Amino acid sequence: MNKILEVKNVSASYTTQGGAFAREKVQIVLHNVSFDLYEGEALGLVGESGSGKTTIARAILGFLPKYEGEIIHYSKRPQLIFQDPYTALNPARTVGWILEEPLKIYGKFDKAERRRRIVEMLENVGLSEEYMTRRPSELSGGQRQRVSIAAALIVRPKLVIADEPVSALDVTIQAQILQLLNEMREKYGLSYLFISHDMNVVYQLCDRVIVMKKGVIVEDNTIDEIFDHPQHPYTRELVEASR
Amino acid sequence: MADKKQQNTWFFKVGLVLTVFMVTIILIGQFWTPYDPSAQNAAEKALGPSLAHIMGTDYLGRDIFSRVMDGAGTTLFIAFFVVLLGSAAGILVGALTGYLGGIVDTVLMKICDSITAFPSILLAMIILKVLDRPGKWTVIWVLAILFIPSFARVSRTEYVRIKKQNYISLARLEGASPARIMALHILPNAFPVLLPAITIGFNNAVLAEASMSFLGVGVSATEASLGRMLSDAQNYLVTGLPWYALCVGGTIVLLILGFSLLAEGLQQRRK
Repeated sequence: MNKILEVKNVSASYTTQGGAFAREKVQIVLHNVSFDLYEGEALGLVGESGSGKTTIARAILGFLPKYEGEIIHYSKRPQLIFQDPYTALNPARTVGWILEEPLKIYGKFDKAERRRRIVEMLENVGLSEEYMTRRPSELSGGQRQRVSIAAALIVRPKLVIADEPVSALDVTIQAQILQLLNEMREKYGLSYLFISHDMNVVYQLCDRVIVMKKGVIVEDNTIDEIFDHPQHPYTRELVEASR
Repeated sequence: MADKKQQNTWFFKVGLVLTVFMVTIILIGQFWTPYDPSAQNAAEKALGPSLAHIMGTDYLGRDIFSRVMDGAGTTLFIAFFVVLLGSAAGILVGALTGYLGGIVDTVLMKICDSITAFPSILLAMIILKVLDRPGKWTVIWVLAILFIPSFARVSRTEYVRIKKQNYISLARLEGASPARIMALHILPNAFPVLLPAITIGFNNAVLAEASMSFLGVGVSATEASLGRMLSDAQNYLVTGLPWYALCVGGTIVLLILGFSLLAEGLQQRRK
């Protein structure tokens, strides 16, 4: 199997500003993190808040200004799905505009082809053509997340990073969105890096899980092994908590 | 809550009606006035308001209402272009400083700060005296430049706030250029805040033009404007023509009041 992402010995820290009475502090957020992600694989990244999972995502997407180590991805346009569907869509624009913008920037399709792709993608995520003229404020949380997924997938990425994409949604909507993510993965042969704190959600989507704590990877194994034979005490704690 | 909402739409509606009314009369004045604004009539000089002359006539027998319609046109013309040029440049400066930050931010905002450090009317008077080219367009350029900092500040705040939103991160991920993000992704979201600022700016421009022409540094002597007429009228305030100053001043008040209510209404409508 081909690798789509290689993360090699990545460390990152940030310095808190020193004030009149405080000295500068160096806070380590990632310590020597290494893992690979293969084509078509769904990799879960689990850990409590502050464990460094979102920092990894930001580093991969190029949003982290400074880190040590090496990150190589073999996907031209890795995309991101945010946790909060209320802030991920431009409130001043229509769904049609939001979905057309990445295609316009990509620049290889004419107007008719762009429209064809938008309608196709809307149908893929379970929305109809009519949604093109709607604004995000007119949509429910679940519908917004569907639009976010459509916007991420419209440029046909190979790698999608999803940062807690269902944790802001109701349980019933969660299940629908997870099912949609599974369908899209099969249809487009996507690789997911799926960030979550919820083992149950990870279980429904991922083949393999990396457990992080305080910036360090404490366990990296297949989903079944993680659930059946958790090695690290922290992993055991997470698995117990999800039962 | 309900009361407050009621009041908000009240501001907006009255402001809109007043503004549309004033602007319509002024626009009509550019094509048609009841009398020729500069026609002198010795038989009808210094008359008080009447049906024939609703604002009376001046010491040369000219119809004041016709002159106000004509002069307010100049004032409005100047205010319009001051706001158009000043807000366009100001929003651009705010976008660059707010979105890019760093050295661009520091340099441009320092320039804005130094402009703001002087009282703007004083600065405008000095520049106009030095240029010594009285006329509409000189006033427009000088005021437009002086108006840039206030628009830049409002726009900068909005760009700083909006650029941190998740949908802007996604636009960057899609490969949108900074210019594209500033113009297509952020500007429409900044607009609800910029619109009241533009309306207030219009207000300030009317006042600035009136003040400068009143002080004799604005439009040239041959052009009528509200400020110039007011300056003219004050000579006769106690010697027989009190309605001249009152009518011209009243026109300025109504114009300003319309814009103020409109701006206030716009500002409260977004809350």
